[in-house]
Amino acid sequence: MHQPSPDPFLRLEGVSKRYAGGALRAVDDVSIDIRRGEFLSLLGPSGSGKTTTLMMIAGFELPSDGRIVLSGRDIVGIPAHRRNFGMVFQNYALFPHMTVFDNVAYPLRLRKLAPDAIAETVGRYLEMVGLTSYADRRPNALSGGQQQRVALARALVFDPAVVLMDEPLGALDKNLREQLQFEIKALQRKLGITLIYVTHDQSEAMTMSDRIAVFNAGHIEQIAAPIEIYRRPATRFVGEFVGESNMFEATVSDPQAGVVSTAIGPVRAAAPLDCARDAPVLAMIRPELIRPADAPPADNGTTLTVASIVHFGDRVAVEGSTADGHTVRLRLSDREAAALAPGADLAVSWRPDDVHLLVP
Amino acid sequence: MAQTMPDGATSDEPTDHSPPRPLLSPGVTRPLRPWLLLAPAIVFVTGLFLVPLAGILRLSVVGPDGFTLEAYGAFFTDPFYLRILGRTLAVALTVTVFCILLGYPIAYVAARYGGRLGTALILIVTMSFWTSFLARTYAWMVILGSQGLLSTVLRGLGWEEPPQLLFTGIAANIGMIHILLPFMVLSLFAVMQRIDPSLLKASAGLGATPFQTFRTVFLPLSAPGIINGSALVFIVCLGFYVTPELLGGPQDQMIARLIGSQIEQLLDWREAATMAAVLLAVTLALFAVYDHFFGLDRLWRS
Ligand SMILES: Nc1ncnc2c1ncn2[C@@H]1O[C@H](COP(=O)(O)OP(=O)(O)OP(=O)(O)O)[C@@H](O)[C@H]1O
Ligand SMILES: [Mg+2]
Repeated sequence: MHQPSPDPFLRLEGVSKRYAGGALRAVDDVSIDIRRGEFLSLLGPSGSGKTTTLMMIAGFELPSDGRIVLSGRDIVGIPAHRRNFGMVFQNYALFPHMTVFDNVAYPLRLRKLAPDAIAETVGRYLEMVGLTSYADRRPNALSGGQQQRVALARALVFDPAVVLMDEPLGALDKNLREQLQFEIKALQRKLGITLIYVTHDQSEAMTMSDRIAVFNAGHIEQIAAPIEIYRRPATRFVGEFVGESNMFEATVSDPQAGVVSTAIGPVRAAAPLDCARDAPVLAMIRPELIRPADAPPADNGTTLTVASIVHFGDRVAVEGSTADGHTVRLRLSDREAAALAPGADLAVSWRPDDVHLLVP
Repeated sequence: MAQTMPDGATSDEPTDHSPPRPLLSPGVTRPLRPWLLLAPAIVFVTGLFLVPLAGILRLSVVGPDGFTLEAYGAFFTDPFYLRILGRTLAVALTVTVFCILLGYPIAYVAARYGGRLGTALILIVTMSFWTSFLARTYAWMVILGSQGLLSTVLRGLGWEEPPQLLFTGIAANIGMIHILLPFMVLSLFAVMQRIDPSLLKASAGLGATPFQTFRTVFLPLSAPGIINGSALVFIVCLGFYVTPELLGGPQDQMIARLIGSQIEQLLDWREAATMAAVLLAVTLALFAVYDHFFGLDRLWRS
């Protein structure tokens, strides 16, 4: 198993892409350092510029601005076919007139490998994706999951410097998607692949990535490890896009004590604040960190009137509102929610550790 | 229709189509329905095509004393007739090859670079359908005549004795290529347009130069268009009559013209019918060859 090494391997420096004569900034001043062997996800809503960024890395789109540097060399001027990057598309893009074997052999034949070396390598990769017995089939005689495995083998077989995937599992059903997430992650680890993975599915990004770059309207809001993104989102957008959150606008009332005042009362964070009194901040508390309490404490708690209860099987989503009508979302276990009914009063509290304050 | 079947991808099971709504009253049994739908076409084809065809075949084998293959014997032993049949096939082949060479780049640009340019190209190509092909043939006479546009331009450029093109095989071929080119372009365009652009990206990403991508991905995937277009052009060309007659010389007669003169000048209906039957047989044989070799493309076309 390879460990990501700390030196930047692929580097985007202030990369932008403008369309419509500059009016539309599809990608706006994006900088990322990608380490060798790293699994980086580009996560963001539709139209946020993920595909455009990936296409510029692949060499299918020319950046309007900025540099893309691979091992110290600017590759912006190098055409896609000389970049040696593997690419997996959402619609698989398998060559319909070639067998599975020929599809996977394609990049090796272009590199003029000897036929027996090709047969050996293709065989090895087909085995890795579990398709050995399908070598002679045409792509249209395969299921979606099998087709994507072929595409995967084809993108990896020539030992590319970087592998790029654009929503590779977007067309598959949930079970198959989870299975392939696991397989891709396992292959990436085993082969030490540097992988850039575009998705708009946050759970996919959370479970697979070493780091996630969260895109919004063409720029990057935050790049960090998944748990960091979840626990300490850098912006309101990230906090609301990744996972569920309670986000309250607040003003700092006591920086030393870490207390801010919000519409649902004073909220106290664990550490002193590095900002002035009355500075505007946002207080975020994840729904699962708000717990039922015997009585609401002076700060970090309130009393809610239960508005709705939705059972998800493994957890229960409860929405309550404060006396002056502010909504608070909670995640409870089935047992915790058993006694609740809409209209009931519910005292809740949270720990200072679980309060995340961010600049709006 | 897309080669990669993105829609078939989400599930391994075939989708369950509910039975079609009955088109007719429930009393009509199922297997009858397609025949009822086809009935008008069957009547049309039988009345206007199969019956006259049978008539022609009958004509070719019935002599004054009943059944005879005399006319076929005459055809296949007469070097003049055979030469014209051979020439007809050679001309059709030449025209087909030139239609491919000229039509492929047009269709390629239209399909690959889409947008305004593509639409404009296809519009220009189909626009020639709006003018009758007789008019187009006469236009070529004006252009290629000894005092025509081309000669005038060539003389203006200092060529004192530009070659006479009108009433030669070259003029006849130019006219036929011009008339048949749109069929080729549209056949090619229809197939090329359905080639998924991400296949070309995938190929480049895997290391293929633009030319390698063209040769190993685009060209094979557009082959059905070449084959369909060629079959169309070749077979239509076999029956050309007016264009070679008006643009070519006497030595450029094709078989359709020969059939015409058999009737008009010799009133030999039997020999004319025989030639028509031979032409039909050649056409059918070509279709059979086509089907044998290229029916295969259905393997990857849905
Ligand atoms: N060729 C183009 N011409 C003009 N605008 C474009 C072009 N390609 C992309 N855009 C625009 O750039 C923006 C970013 O598009 P992009 O495809 O990168 O988004 P995305 O994050 O991949 O979205 P999705 O999740 O829907 O795939 C969009 O507003 C899109 O309309
Ligand atoms: Mg996209």
